[in-house]
Amino acid sequence: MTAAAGSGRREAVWRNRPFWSRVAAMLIIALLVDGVHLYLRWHSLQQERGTQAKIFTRSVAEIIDLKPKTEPEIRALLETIVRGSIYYAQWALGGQIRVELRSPEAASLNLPPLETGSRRPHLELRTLADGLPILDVTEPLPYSDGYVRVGFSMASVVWTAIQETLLALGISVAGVFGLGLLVTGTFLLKSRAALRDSAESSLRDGQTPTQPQGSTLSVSGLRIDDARKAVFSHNGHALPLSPKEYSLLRLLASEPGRVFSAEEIRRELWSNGHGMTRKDVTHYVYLLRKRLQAQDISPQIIENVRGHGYKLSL
Amino acid sequence: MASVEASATWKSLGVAVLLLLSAGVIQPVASSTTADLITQTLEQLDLALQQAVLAHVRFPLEDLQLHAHAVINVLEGRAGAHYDSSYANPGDGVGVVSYLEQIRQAPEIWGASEELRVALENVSSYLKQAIDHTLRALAEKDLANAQAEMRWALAFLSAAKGREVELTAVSGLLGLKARLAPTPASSPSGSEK
Repeated sequence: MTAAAGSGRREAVWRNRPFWSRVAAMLIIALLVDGVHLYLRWHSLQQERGTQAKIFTRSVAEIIDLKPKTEPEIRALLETIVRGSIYYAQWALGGQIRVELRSPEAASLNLPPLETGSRRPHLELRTLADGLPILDVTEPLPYSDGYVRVGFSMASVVWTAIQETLLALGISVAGVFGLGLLVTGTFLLKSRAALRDSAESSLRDGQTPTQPQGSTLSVSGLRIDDARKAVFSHNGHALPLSPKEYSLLRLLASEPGRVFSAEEIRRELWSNGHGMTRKDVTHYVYLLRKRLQAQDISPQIIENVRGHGYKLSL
Repeated sequence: MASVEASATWKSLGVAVLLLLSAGVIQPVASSTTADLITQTLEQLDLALQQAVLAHVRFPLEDLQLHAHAVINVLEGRAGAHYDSSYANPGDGVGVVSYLEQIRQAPEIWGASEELRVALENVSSYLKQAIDHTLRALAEKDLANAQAEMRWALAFLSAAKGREVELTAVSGLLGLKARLAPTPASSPSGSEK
């Protein structure tokens, strides 16, 4: 086999429809798995951060309430908190908000005082006007009739989930293409090799080359469907070939680039061979070229190799 | 004549001390008792503990590190190698480490039992560990690891604070304060801090 022929076969693998179908199927599965991963990761991160936000807010409530503190001291404490992802913090006592600090992002957020005597911890996922999710956490003061309310931006959590999913997606896509190339490419190359070996052994034994049932061969812009005994042009049109014309084309396409002698073709097309001559072979080659030309396919894809026979050009 | 000269000398000395005090060259530490110093240290340590408590569950990483910087600023004070004035400092700027050094040099500690001095050394070790873990949290790139480092820092700060009723060697500052406080018998006025 020449290097060019080998390269042609490998290119044929890339053009093979089953290969891409498998890759597409694996890709869809990978995307579905990644979608599920994103959903689950968002929920687990939301739960994890929710717990941490509750502990954080409870700690603030305890710091404020365990030892008596003045209002400026509490304001100073809340000033160290309302930074970065914390958009607001409230300290309420006796149903009145005594200290409230907000970042510009939460300036327009409606945060009315909660009911007096409300000692129930509360956690709620809210959405700001610009669509950013905020975790609103309220913790009652342990020893006073009041509460601390803190708003945590969940933008970083969303971003973390997306980053992790993109990483997983990248790994999946690389895996799909890698495995797809390895498995399908190897499979197709092996199938080709098996087909060629089978044809060669059949020729040696004087039998008609056997092809796997239902196989499809693409060569020189033609797609040969063995199961339907039909040949299609590159734009999908079926070529109206007689059984002998089909058999001739199929034989030449079994090994593109290889020269088949007229005698060899005669033996393959007419197994009993009685009354058939090399002129009949020449006649069928002529007919086949005419059929190809009628479909705007170059008849020169069937090349005449002077003194030797015919071959299908690559 | 001699008494007039002596009076002038004392006045000059007083003015000099006042000038030095106002310039911050010397601090009125000498007037504090060891118990006062320990109380001040405990107040600063509480502030560091509060920031560590907030840091160990804070997210994302950048926000956690805001509290971690505050912990370092309170522990090391303005004279500390890692003090960063661009971050919050809820403390008084002296630093828990500096307070501890002053306690170590206090006369009561020099005259105290060996086990009390060992307890003070342990407090220093706990503080050093707390600072090391906080610095590691500041160097971390992963939130979970930084939170874990802050939990370590929290544990060592709690150990440094200690408990009043505890074995002397592990009693922390609270235990030291309880042991150094004048007993009712030695302080009839009962005016101990």
